[in-house]
Amino acid sequence: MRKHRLLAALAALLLGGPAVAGNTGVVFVHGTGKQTDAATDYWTHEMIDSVRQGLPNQSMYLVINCDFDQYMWTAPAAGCLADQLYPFIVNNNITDLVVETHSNGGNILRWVMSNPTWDSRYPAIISAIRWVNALAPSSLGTPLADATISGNVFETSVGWLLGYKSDAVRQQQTSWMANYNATWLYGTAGRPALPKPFYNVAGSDVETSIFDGDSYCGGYTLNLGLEVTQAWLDSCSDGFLNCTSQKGAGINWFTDTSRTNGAEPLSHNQSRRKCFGLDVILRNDI
Amino acid sequence: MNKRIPLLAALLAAMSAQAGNLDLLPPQAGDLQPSVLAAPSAPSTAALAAPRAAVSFSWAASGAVAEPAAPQAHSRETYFEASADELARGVTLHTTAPRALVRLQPLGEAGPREALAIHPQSMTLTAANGKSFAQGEGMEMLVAADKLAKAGLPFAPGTSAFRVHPNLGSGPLTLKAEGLSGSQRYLVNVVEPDSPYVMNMRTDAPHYLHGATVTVTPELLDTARGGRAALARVEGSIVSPAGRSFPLQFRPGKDGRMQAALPLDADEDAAPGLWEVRAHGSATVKGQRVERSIRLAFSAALPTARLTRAASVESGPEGVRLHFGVEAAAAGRYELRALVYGTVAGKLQLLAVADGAQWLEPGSGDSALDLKRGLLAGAGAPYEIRDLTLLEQTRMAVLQRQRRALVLGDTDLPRTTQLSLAPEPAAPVHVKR
Repeated sequence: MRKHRLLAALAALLLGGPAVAGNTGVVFVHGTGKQTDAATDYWTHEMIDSVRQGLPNQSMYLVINCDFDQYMWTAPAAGCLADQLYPFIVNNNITDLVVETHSNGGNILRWVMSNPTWDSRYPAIISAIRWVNALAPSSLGTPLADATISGNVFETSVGWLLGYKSDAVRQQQTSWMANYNATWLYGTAGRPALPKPFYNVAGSDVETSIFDGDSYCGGYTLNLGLEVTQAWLDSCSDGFLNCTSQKGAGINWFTDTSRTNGAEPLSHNQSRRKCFGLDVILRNDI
Repeated sequence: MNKRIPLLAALLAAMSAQAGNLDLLPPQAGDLQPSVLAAPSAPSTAALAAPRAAVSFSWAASGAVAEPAAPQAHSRETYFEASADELARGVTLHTTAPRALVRLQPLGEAGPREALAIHPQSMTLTAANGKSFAQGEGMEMLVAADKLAKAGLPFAPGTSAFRVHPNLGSGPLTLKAEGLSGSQRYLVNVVEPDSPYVMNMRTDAPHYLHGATVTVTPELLDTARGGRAALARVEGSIVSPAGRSFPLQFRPGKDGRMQAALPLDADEDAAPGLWEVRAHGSATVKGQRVERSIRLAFSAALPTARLTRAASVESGPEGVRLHFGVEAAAAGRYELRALVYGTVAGKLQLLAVADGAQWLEPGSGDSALDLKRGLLAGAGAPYEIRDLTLLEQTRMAVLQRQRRALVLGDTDLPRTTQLSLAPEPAAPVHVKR
């Protein structure tokens, strides 16, 4: 951290630019779902408290609570993110923001960075971002979204369009994400780069041995569900997303086993929790 | 002579502020071009609520960018519906590889009895050789709704799943749910990750406008042999974001591939989401029946605005502003985005992404892209504006897309622009470890 700041100050001095004037902050952006207390219910306080130890001022953090059951571009989704993030940046003079996203939260951030003219607050948010660490982002969608939506497609009597199921799940169908990636979103293969770096972290497997304590990190029963859903996915998956989807946008920072304690894989549930040293990796990244 | 000096100075000043009119390049095959404009029959309340403030943003970019491509989908799975009576008699699962994944869910309202009846433990599976397996035998990874719910996925209530044990092999399997009767409907999904038979489907363009014809081409690939297999029958429809359904008639084309075409009626109440092709294909390959269901999303829009083909360049202390004429048939928040290329060491290279949006009323207007000072630094003429795309934000509509839009020479850039192309101060450096 100190080394980074020294480098920044040195670069600014050499290039005649301004010295680092503002504050460093970190924001946690949850995945699909409507959260009202994501610090407790989604990330856990032990994860957040561990990561924010990397901040010069540990109070400069924000946990987003929005309705990410909606399409990424809507007011309750990306609009809500801006409602919470923009005042955090302005009121705290944040000029160096590290964004930690999980799952569909990566798509929300990619929406903001790919569509800077959608909302007059987006340019300021983008300008403040140093980089985004996208933990298990669903950048190319998931066959599981196709499977869950298909039931509604066939069930015409309930009207699948009427919000019966999550719009965010519908958006994360593979051919839908392919369409959005080709038009409205940047950062995937063959598309222009995003205005700020988008580093993805990929989870490669789910381990659920009842005799293995590692299976309990993040909640044994949740991991058990993800082991089941692996059957729909490629051999490399975190139980919800294929590795190809997780690595489908931005730059691959690392795949779980190359950096986690004991080379443990991170299931989709564990990549948002204090499991196998992920919190320390993110802390040191700030 | 003295009288001419102020005149010349004024002329130079005017030239330095704004270059003369430029024309967009002619569109190429494959570009999305509205020929006529149309206002929506129903006004969009979302459009009226859109922000009015003009916003622009540009950033440095580099590297190769691919041409927009027509979307494709791939499927190794099939869906079909069965009634409770049919499940009690036994339904055939046409598998083409061992280890098929089978998922069942009640459609509509179903009671606990109906859900329990499709628990894997309640069902009997009969292999192609006639041997039957009950109470979970012949299956692995049996899952009831409670376990699926723990994955946090919104599978329908009552959903159950199992994987066919490898010992049962492939071919026609019979699935029976004992104790069921009546008209309650169920959805059966058979996924074959290991099957060599993949159904592909593509449309002929990435985006469509109202009135354009979408052509859908499905094909069945035999990945083991490395060729195509003939589809005997394909049925399907196109569903709009508002839920209107249009049946497709698939017929074999000259090359033997199935194809269907449909003129698109995109004039409907604004609804979020994409258009979707839904199709089901059947084939018999080497005596094995292959069933595949597939869905593919694409976008279609009512052409509420288009570029007039006029453009101009203006410079200022902050950088360069590119103006593009826009003709709008409906009020809305319109966005223009483009890739900016410049010549570096004799080669055209991507320099920046530019984006601008503003509210436009019906009639002729202007849309602008701002390029910050420094984005063009290090590059020279010719410059090119590529992938110029006109969008309508509140209707999520792609209205126009031109791959090569504008070429700018040295003389097209105002003099002050050329003088101000100095690099911007560098941002603080952070190194990812």
